[in-house]
Amino acid sequence: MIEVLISMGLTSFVLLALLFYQITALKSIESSNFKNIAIQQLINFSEILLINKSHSARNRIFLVWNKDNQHLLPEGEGNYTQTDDHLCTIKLSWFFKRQASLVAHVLC
Amino acid sequence: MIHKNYFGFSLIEFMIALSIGSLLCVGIFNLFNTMQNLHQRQMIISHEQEDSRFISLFLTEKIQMAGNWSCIAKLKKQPRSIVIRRFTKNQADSKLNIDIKSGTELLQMHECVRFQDKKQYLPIAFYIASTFRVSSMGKHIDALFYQIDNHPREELVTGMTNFRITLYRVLHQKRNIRAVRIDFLLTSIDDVLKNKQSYWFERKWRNPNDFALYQPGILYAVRRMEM
Repeated sequence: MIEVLISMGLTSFVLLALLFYQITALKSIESSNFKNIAIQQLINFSEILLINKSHSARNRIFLVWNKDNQHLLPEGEGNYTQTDDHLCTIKLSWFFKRQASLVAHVLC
Repeated sequence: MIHKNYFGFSLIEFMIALSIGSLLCVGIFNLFNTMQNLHQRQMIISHEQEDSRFISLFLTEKIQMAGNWSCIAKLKKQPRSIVIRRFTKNQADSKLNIDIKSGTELLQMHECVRFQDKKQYLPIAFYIASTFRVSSMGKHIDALFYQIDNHPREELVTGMTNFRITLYRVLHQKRNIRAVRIDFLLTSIDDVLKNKQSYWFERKWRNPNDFALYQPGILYAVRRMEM
């Protein structure tokens, strides 16, 4: 009887390890999904900056963009700064298990 | 007195082994089930991610090139057709004779495309419609279609269920579209979740009627061609 129980215990251990592996893989796919969304949002905002040249128009559309960030990404929040006459830095950060962020330098 | 040596399990031992074994079997079955669900979910997320990237790149390029009439430049006269237009279901039905899914919109762009072995300036339409196929669970499958002029449609992304368009015009030029925002929604088609999961679409939280996995996407693109 003890042999049967040990073999079953070992089988369950292996299966639990497999389950843990699957959960880790799912988390990593979800994390890459958020990164994908963040990249798209950065591209979107770089396009927005191209057509909105005035400060007021940029600020208005920035609020809309940031609202989308909040809902598309967990605790997603974006920011942008004009570093030069024609250069802008866009930063987007979110929290999934740990703080993550992406930065893009674009012409604006 | 005769002594007999008995080998093997007693009834009580057998009962205990059987009950522990059954408990382990139930546990293993549940584990397999969970693992299968997790794997399915992983596949769906990666598939939706792939579709989302593809459609974003494809549409961005098309919008950026909208209004490109270089293939008819010999005429030296800019075509008068509106470069980018949005149609509701009723408008698409009456003006273009295209049946699109209700609640969605059709995006039409004019540009030079290679078609039937030569470059032509033609309207291209993007819209959601039924594929007339059903999934293994008996659900109707919608897709994003691509149609050049009046030619047969082509399926671009299977499982896209919503497509809404916002057009940004140049100030005081009603017909001149400068940028486009597209809100699209991808779905797993079949029910894969245990609980309904709400999603953010078109600046609002939406509650689905089914247990499918929804992935919203937003795309902004600015026309690069001269107006």
